[in-house]
Amino acid sequence: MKDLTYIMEMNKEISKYLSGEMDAQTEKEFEQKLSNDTALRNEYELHKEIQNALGEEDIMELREKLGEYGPSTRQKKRFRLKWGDALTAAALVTLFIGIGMLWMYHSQITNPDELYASYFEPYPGIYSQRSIDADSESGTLKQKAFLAYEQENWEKAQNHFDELLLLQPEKAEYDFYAGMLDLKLNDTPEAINHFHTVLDKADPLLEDQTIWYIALAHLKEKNIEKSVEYLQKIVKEDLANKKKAMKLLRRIE
Amino acid sequence: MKRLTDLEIIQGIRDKDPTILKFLYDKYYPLVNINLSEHSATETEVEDVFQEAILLIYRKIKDGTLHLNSNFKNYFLSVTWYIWIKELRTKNNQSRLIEDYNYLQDDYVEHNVTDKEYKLHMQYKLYQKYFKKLTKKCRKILKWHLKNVPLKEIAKKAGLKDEKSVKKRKYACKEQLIRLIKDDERFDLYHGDE
Repeated sequence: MKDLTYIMEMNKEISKYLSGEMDAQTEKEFEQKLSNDTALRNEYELHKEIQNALGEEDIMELREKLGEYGPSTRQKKRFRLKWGDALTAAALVTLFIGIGMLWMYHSQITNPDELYASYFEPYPGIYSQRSIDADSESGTLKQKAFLAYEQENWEKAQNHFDELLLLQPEKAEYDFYAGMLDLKLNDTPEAINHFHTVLDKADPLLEDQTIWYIALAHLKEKNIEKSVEYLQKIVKEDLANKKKAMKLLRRIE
Repeated sequence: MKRLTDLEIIQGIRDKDPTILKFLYDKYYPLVNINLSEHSATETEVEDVFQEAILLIYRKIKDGTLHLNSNFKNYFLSVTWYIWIKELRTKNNQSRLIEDYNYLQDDYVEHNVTDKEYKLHMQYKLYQKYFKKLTKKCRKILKWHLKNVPLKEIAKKAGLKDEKSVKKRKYACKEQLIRLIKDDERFDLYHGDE
């Protein structure tokens, strides 16, 4: 069994070989190694297969498309439609109740975009200076990332958090801030992905906040049903942001 | 909806035509659902098998290896059946059912999907699944690299300092992808030798 360092070294060499970054001599040596070393050959095959698989944009696109036709997705859509009908009915009832009530109804913000804008605030950049090892690569990057975040230089911060995730993919904190930055930079589906990864990593310090931001992200996506689901979870389980969640639920429902 | 010929369905799948895809789900999903749920498939598993059947057929159309012996409906059902048998074989403690399927498999030989094709399809599915889990920037960098976009241009597009940073990032992204793929319990199954 080859050790991790050896495998990482192999991967570097394979990447260089496949990208044509080797000079003629090194390339020849590599090919020689390839024919003698089974482990290297297996890794090389894997790299090639992955490369081919990633080139199948049509298949990936079709798989995504098919996801929309599956019965479970269709069911959700139907539910969303019913919810929309209920809203319309509620609005009509309000209309009949009286002009005064109607005025009150309209004076409230019920548009998801506006609701989102009035509730979304990027989570503060909380990190401990002491916990940062300023000498390490990740330590320096972390400092840079939070500095850019605090200075509201969102693109720069996003770059740094992306890099941090590559160096330490196990850290839920980086996914959390990467998600926050995606929300800020209007890439909501990506933000939802990051937030779900935070939940998968089960970091108790971030769980409550993450659920709040997932609810907001779905609101931004106009997926009211999902947003309500997460807001109700906050209320039911008495999580952080409960008061805000209750208020928001009242305005949505 | 008007009746569709087998050719129209095949062309529709090839063109990823939403009308045809919806037609497949409307007409065949209930049949597949009955067939597979009678043989222990859950709702999610039926959906997965159905989706993979369309994708496998799409792949065969693209490769020019699709041959219909009877009609498309029977062919489609036999592909879903084949996938479900394969799926069951990857699961443990289903030996009794596998015996059933070995017997039943003889009735469903129309699919002409080879084990090699299936294995490759599932391998690629695994790789593509984890590719989608990478950050957006990683996905873009790897894609640009695959399309031979010059490093300088990638640096500009991705907001990275220089070509060296692109190389470093590309390598890290690929490392992460490989790690995710290898951590999946199905990796050995699809990647190992027959």
